[in-house]
Amino acid sequence: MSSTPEVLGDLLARCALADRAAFEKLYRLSSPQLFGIVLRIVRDRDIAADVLQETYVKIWHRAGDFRADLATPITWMGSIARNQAIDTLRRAEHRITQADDVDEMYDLADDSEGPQDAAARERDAAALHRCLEELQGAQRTAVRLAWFRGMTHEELAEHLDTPLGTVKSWLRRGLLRLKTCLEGA
Amino acid sequence: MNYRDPQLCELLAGQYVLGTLSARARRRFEGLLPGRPDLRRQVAAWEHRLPEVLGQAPAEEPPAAVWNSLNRRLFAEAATTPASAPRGLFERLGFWRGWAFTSSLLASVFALALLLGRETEIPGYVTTLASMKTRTPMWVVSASPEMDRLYVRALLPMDVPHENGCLLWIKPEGSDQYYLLGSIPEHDGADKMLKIDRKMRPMLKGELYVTVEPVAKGMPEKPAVAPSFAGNWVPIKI
Repeated sequence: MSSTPEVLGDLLARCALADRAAFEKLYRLSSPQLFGIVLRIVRDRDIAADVLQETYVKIWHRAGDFRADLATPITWMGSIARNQAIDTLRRAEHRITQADDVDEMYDLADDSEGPQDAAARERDAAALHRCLEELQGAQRTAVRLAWFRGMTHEELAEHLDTPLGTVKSWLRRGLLRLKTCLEGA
Repeated sequence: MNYRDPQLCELLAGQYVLGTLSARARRRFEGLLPGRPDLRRQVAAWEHRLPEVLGQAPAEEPPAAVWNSLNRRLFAEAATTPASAPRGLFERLGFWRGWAFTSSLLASVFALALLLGRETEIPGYVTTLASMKTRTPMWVVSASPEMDRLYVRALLPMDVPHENGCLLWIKPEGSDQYYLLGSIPEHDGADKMLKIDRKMRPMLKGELYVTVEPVAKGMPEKPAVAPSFAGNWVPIKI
């Protein structure tokens, strides 16, 4: 069975009706992607496994909240996984503090086709890349670190050895610039 | 903080998805979401765009133990206790959807129990067949404890194209095959009884599906289109 948005959406709808078989299929199809997201943030396989379990408990209980008109299933589940990973990281302070090569981190991002519409992705890829390149170096670094490492403003300030107000300003301006660019993409 | 300021809302939504809000700020923001469709749309837009523009982590197979303990924890827990209440339960849309769903199911069960009481016993199993897209319950189905008869009542009117009908199928547990149980009513409030053949009765434990498809040339042996509605039996103990 493929993990198209339609298939995952149907499985989520059946989970909302307490269908355990659908939940198992959903897990088999989506867990590698969610585990990848979680592992990238917490960077420890044992902790990532615990986070993944918590994520799917939430998905099971909240399946009825999924709105196909607002997000793809993998986007919706991915945001639950990200938030769970970030919460766990902040609670346990399992942050790895050594400096990371954020560009290498970005290079490791999965560019292969996901469950999102492949044709749309291809069409938009160049425009999206241009939007990211439009950000100034520091803005881009801060946005990437926040995305891939789940860092708060304070952690970014410490990690980049930059005043907190400056980091907040980078992120604010970076997000608004991205939005403006993406709307025109 | 002025949560009606459009630019602030946009930024909060972006930072919420990016993950830079502190735990307190995130909880406060999540508290606003149930009552603010505009914020939910902004969050959805960021959730859609950020993975595309920043990239997503590569997929990685999780350890097999995760599913085993998840399965044990979730379903052992479900068998003994109600699902744990999330924070801000009464603010959650899902809670009210579930409440409305359960209430209408129970109301229909008791209405059917009264209806059937004249000629038979309380039903043994019940389910609602709901849209697989919107989860709107469209029919309530009850089965006698022996599974020899099903009673179906349409809850809402259906706009079914001419020459099409609504067909009820069972997919038995552990099987990938669909078996036709019969056509079911499309007009709200309409009832129908389906007699179940003796050899079909053991197969009635499974998932119920409804397809909307052409029936003018007779009943098909297998679905011609993908099912649009689904439901699972709930045993009734009174």
